[in-house]
Amino acid sequence: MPRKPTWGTPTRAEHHPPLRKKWQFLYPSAIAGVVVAVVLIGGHLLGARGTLSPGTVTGAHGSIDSSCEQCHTTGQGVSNVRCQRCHDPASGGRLAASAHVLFGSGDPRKAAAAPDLACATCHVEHKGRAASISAVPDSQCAKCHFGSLRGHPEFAVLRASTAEAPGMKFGHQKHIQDVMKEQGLTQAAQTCASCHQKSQPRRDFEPVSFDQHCASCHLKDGSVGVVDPIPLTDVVDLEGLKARGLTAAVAALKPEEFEVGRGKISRPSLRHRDPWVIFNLAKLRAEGDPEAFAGERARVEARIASLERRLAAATPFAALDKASLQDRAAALETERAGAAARLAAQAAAGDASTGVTRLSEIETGLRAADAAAADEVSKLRAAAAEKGAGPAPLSTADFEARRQEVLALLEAVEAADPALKPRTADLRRRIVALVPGENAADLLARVRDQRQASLDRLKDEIKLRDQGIAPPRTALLDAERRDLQRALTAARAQLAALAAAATTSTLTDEERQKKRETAEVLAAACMKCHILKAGAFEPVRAARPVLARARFIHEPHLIQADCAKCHPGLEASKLSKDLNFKGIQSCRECHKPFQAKQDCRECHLFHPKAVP
Amino acid sequence: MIAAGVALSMLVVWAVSAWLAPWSPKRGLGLVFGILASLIFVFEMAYPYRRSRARPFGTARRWLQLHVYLGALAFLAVLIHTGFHWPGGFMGWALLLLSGWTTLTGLVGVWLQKWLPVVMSEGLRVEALYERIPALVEHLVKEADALVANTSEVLERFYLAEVRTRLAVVEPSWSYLLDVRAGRERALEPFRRMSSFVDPAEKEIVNDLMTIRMEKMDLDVHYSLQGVLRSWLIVHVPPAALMMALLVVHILAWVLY
Amino acid sequence: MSNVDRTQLQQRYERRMQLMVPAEPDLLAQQSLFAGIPEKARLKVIEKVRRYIHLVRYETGDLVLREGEYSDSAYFVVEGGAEVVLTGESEQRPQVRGGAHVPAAQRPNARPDVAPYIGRGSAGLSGTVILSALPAAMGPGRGNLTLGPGEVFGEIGALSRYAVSATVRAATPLTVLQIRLPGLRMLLASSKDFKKSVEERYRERILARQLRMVPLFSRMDDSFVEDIKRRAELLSFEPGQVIVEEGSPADALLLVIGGYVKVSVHAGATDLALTYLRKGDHAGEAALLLEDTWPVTLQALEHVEIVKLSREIFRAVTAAYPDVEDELWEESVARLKARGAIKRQPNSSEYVQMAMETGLIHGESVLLIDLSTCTRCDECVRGCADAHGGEPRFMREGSKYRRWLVPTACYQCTDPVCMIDCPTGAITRQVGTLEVTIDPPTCIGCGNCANRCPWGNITMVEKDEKRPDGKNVEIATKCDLCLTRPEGPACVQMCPHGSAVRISFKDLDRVTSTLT
Repeated sequence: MPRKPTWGTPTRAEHHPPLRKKWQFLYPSAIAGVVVAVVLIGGHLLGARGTLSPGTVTGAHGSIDSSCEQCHTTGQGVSNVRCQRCHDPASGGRLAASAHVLFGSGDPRKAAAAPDLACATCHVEHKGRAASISAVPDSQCAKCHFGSLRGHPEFAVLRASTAEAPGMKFGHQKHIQDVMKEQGLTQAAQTCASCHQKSQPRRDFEPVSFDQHCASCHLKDGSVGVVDPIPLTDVVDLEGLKARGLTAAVAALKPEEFEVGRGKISRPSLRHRDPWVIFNLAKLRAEGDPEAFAGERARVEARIASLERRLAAATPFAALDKASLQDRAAALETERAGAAARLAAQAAAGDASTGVTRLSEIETGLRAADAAAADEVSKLRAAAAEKGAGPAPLSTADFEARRQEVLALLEAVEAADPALKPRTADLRRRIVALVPGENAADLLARVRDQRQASLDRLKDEIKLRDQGIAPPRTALLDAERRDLQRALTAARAQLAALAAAATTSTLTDEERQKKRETAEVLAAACMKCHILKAGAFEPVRAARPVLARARFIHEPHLIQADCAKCHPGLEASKLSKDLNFKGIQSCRECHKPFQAKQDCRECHLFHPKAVP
Repeated sequence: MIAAGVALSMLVVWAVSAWLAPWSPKRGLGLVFGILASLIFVFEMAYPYRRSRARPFGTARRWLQLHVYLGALAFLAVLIHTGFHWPGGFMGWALLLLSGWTTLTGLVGVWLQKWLPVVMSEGLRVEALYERIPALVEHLVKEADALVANTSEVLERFYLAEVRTRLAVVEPSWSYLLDVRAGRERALEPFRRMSSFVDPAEKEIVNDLMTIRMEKMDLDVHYSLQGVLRSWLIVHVPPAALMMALLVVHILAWVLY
Repeated sequence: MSNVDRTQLQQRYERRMQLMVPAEPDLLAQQSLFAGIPEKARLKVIEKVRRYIHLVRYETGDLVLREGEYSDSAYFVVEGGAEVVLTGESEQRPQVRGGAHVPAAQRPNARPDVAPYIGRGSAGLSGTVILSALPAAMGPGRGNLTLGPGEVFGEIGALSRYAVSATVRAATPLTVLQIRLPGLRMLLASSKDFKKSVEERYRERILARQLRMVPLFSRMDDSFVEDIKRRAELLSFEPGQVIVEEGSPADALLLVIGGYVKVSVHAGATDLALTYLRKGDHAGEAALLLEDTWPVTLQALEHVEIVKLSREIFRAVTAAYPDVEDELWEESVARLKARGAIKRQPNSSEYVQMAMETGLIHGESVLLIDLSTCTRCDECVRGCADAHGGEPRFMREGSKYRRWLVPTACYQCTDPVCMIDCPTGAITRQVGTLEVTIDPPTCIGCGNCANRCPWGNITMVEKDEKRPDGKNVEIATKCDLCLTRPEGPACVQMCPHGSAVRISFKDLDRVTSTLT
């Protein structure tokens, strides 16, 4: 019988063969997994940090790649105080979001209301050594602003439809025609290069300077003009300059340049930036327009004060030992508490009522001495009491005007009674510190918040010290200190010049008028191009870029187009306040998708510069 | 169908969100997808408990279906969590590769499960338990020995030289994965040849030996293919356990830093 | 019987086994049992039959037949008295046909959603119990009946394989001739007297009740049933015998009392197996209603007992009870649809045919594994082992048909032969349930059930207990459809691919949809 093929199992077993236990597999795998986890965590705790890292940090942070605790705090992620520890050691709050809002809008109230932004939101680390963490994508900007260049509003200068006064009288048309004639050129666009010269290191144009670009035509025979005779008593002559110690100015001048006769002094030739003219102008201004002068001086002093304060604060915590840190912390705490307390008191009291109380105090004090003044004060008091819910914010111009008034008043008080100097100095500092649009409560809040932020940073530093983490390199601060120092030096020089020109005498209104007239004569030659306002020359803004809140570099654009593409109609421009620029539309011609880059950071910076 | 719909909606959510704002694995939706992937992985790890906890899903079959579909979705969630960028750092790479490997081997396992049983049931006559195959082969050898016991010398020599060696040991081979009948014709050819050498009386014995040889080959195929099905687990489970360990460390890192 | 003394049972069993020797011819020749055989043939018959006849003695109080068990023997009382005891509990038990399944909702701990996993066959089974060899005079509350010398009991149960419906105990020291089924059949064939007496007893005592239990006749009044009872024909068929041929004129309603009948249709040169009939099923009503020929061929698959009701009787029934006719019409339509379906899908018929050839039709719930989706992961076996304390009750081994493997898991037969000859009654089927279960404390490990199962689905498993002779105690184990498991059979539920199914081969639609 042939053997039939089996369909199925050839034979049956008595009992089922032993079943593989299901745990035979799982347990070894699970144990292996646990071992791996323990090894990794243990390794991490013992120092091999790389295993937990989501990627290497950018090259600039390379030295702290393995020290996670430099930036990370358990449970808090990367807090701003850590970034600021190295990047804003002077704790100016420059890198905070509120600083950006202030930089952009100029409105301190808006800045105070701005939400706090974590640095790590935009600056994403751990993307590798070659990544740039400052290359923030547009979508981050789009969270508050518009999405792309298409949504970009017209430039502010164009919207206002005039530039701020450039501080000069200048018409392009005449200059273009003259240059064309002189050099025999046929097209207006070819004349640009004769004044606007490319600056290789800066990839832009050299700022237009008198000596380089204007002197060739305007300094005929080495002189820009003459000074008609003016009373000798009004001005200080060469000896007088020497007596005041302005040796540098004296060295530049020669006695032959002066013509003195019949109680008047004149000059047949003037050089550009003639030191004698400048000094005497300042002096005449101080005499003729003391309030403005005082205001300017106060501004410079305030700037010096803030710069000095910043410089002092620009001692990184790294340099301090623990005791000093504690001291500083205590001091900050006091200041903060004080500001908070005052704020609370003010809030409780209400602005208007505080003002009213103070006014009535003043009135009572004055009543005995000066009845008329006391009446004025009482009128003010009534007005203030009327308004009720607090003063409305002033416009910038009004604000500055009022500030000048108050500063002048303070000068007068100081002059009247030198014993009050400490109090007036304190008041001056506070008034100078006010930003347009801010009231006292805002200022106090700003002070309190700043102190709080500094305190947070100090406490964090103390905590890090306790953990044994090394302080950051002090060299990070060097650049900022240098900038501060430079600005401070310039400001001090400015103050010195002003101080030299200061006068203590009080003059009648007529005398002041005469001084002002003399000043005009003195500056007549300069006023061909410059603008004299309230006894001082307006700063020449032509040297500054038009776009205040962005940076524009000409070189990449010059390679692809000529001047007339973006600055059409220059040959017809007669006024100095003409903008001669088409506006953002001309940017969009090339900066659009799939053509030139239109990322926000191509032109804009988020953080304001260390030294404004 | 449902799974495809869910996958599509996940991708749409990612695309819209990434267009609106930069995608970060640590915050917002990126984190949500990361947490989703982690939770699904924990559920996947619970699959071995299907025996004692069969109740929530009724049958082990539904549990397996969920395991497979959710596993694929979990990997998609992992990819979305990374924002479809290459990961930076050791941990990111390790997690991505391990989860990718686990998913890949899982899908390979699904395919194996669908395909190998069909091949085994259609191409083979014999059916055997994996653990019993050596014993069954021994039984076949004994049967063949008994058949050949009192036959002519020619047949005995042929049997001992060409047949018994191949019959006595289980011979698994990878080529059975490609073709269940691999090598069969070549193996049976000697019998056919032999059949013409022996007397008609012994022809039947040769045919029976051929049948036995075929059954032995069936057992070889079973040994190979069932072996693949069993050893597939080694390729899938340890990397999964490793991945879970690294996941724990990854979550720990996120919590602490 | 949980605190049974296994040792004692073992001893009694062994004693009994010693007695199971063929009876002496002299003794047999004296009995009235053989009186109906002509003298000349008697001795020859006795020679043939004595292998299957045993003289057994019982002490007073010993159990001869246990209620609920299956028996393959008839008993002829030689000496003494046998007491038939109705425990009276049967009235409270759910009334189902022998071997049929209690609907899920009616069972204690029932989970209706598990029903699909068990795969019980067709619908249409209402609750009836067909009592086997019980005299008509018996009933609950009527006291016990004693059978004396010369009386026979248990023959109908053995022939038709119904569960024993009453316990029979030895009232006095009892001597009986135990006639096992092959011997019984031989006797029926050779002794007309015996056959007549068996038939008469059947017709007198049993038939009416059995007719009553069939839904078709349940609503009829007594006189009608009595009339039918007298006029019905009782037929027996050998295995393989054709009962009716397709196309022959239909002239009777056939009611199957015992055995399996294959129902097939001609299709070209071959027969397509359609379904099968078992006890309690009827055939032929469609043809009678339509005045048509037989639409199917009926063939006996084993020894079959049939009650034949002629056309006249049928007409009388339908005339008197129109609602019965309506029901029959409905059933006919259903069967017509089934026949049409099989002609469209002849492939499914081969599964039924295979089931008939391999005996799977006996099973109420057969486990099949689809090898084309089975990954051989052994989860089914593990699940079974977990549900039964670590020892699986089946193995993934067995014969293979097409892509289906038939593993050695108990089929829960309609007529469980494993239940015959259990000495302690450990293997039982609760009346009306599907599962045949073995009670571990009661089982003495004799192995009768394991030996009797035609497919080897019962496994002997060693326990830690020791027998008196030093060997380990063995227990018989088999699949019990995971009685205690709320989710139902573990094998079906634990398969991750849904490869394991449990079905019955009765319903062709079910077979088609599950297996093809």
